[in-house]
Amino acid sequence: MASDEAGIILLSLKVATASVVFSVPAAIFFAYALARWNFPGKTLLDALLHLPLVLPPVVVGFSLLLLFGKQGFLGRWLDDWFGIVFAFRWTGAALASAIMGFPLMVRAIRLSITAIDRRLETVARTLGGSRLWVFTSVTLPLALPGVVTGVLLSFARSLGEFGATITFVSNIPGETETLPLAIYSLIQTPGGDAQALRLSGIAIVLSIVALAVSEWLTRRSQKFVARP
Amino acid sequence: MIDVDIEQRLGSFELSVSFRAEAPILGLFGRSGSGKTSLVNAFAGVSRPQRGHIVVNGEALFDSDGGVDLPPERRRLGYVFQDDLLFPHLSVEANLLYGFHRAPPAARAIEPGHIVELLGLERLLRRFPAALSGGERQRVAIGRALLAQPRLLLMDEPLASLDVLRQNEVLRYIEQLRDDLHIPIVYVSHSVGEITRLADIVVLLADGKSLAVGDVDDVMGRLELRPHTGRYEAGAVIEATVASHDLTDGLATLKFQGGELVVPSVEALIGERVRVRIRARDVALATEPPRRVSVLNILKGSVAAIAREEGPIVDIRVRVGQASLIARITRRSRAELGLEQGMEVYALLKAVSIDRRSVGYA
Repeated sequence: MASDEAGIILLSLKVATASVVFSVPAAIFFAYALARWNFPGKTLLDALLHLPLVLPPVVVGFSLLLLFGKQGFLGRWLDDWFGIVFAFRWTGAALASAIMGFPLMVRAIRLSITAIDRRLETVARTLGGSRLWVFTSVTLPLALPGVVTGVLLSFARSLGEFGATITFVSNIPGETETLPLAIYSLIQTPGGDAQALRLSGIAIVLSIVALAVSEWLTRRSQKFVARP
Repeated sequence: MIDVDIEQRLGSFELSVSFRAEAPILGLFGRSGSGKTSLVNAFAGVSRPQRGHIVVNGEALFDSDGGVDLPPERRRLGYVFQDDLLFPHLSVEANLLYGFHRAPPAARAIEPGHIVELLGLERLLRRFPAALSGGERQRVAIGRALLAQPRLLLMDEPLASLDVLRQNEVLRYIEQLRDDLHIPIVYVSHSVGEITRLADIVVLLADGKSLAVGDVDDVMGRLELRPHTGRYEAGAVIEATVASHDLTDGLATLKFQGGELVVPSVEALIGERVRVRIRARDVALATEPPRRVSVLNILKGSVAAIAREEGPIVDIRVRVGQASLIARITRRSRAELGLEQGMEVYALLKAVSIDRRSVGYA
């Protein structure tokens, strides 16, 4: 059972960190595409990216199981070619968290890219910058407040992920049993209430810290971006 | 040499501009909606014309026949916008060096140190754009464009968002650039004052078309172009050199091809060339030399043209030596004096009607 509290917290942090680290580049790409490009199917893509926000998490978890499970078509392919396994591993928990947090991250980054004066990018081009250089030296730094907000929102969302995770990778102590899953099984266990309460307290503290850090970072990065 | 001949359809607006000109400062003058900004965008490579060419100093930036369309970063044009558009996340120094670092080392003829000194930016280098005044920001923007080693500086209404004091400050710097760096400047503006003060050659734009190209005083002084150059702004420009200063009276005497002008003292040394803009409504006419009047400037000349116009006002172009002035008088005065083309007249100009803003450095 959930005896190793430090292990549970560390696992939760590991899952959340991995999910955020691997989804940031993709989120920046999709946010940029949605903010700056016009292409056929843009509305469809937008809707698709937002789906995890409105679908029951169980449905997301079940879909992941079908796609990335041992018998799933992506899951088998990844295992055969790269030896990557998601099913019933902590990496699967990270994948589920990443999918659930993705819309939040894309939204925040997209908003901040939309807010950038496009003429700044034009000026940078006329000053000799290639498209890629202008993106890295002007667009990305100016979108930083949005990236920071997106990362922390998705990180916090990750720490709280329950439905998709338990459906996809089940509740395996030491492998996929993150904080919410541990709390859930403690509540189901006679005499586990005290520990459940303690872990809940830890979850609250972690969430508050994540939000506070996000606020602080956002304010710091906005100092440069804002004009009087 | 700037050679432009382009056609571009932008929604319902049609841009059709063609001119060839060589000048230290080329003015693009037109009211808002005349196509100035569309033309500048085509220059910078931000938009693509349907047909035509843009050639700067023999190199094609765009040529629909030759299949040339350089991307903005390879056109090497310094672009200064109406808003300074400094990068808010970079210090003044990093802003200045943004384009410098992207220019090929062999092309780095304009040195950061020189620009910093020329534009008076020493004290600003470590600051961020948010902490600068409007004039300072525009100076940094100009420096940043110059350090990208452009073959041409494109200035699109660079003074529009500044107050009068800052405008004069930035104008002085632009005049210094012209004299110091020898980079051709295309200066876009809807202000007669700025165009006449700075430009040598002007292209007049209206409804997306280039209506006239030529010397500033010719184009701006042409009576039939008045609907586009503006009724209340009508006037003529005279190029002159400072002949002497009268410190006790606070006056200066300027020599031009056709005579002398006495004006309130100007900030220029003896021998320096200046441009004086004389508004049509400040000039009165007489058929014989008046005596005992307070007017200090009485210039002998002849009537070169009379605008046919309805209403109480008539504009008369007076040739004085090689220069020409426009006098705006009533039709009644014209009838009473019996003014006709070729007649000898005296143009009367009060010295006080020429203020500091009318005089620029040539």
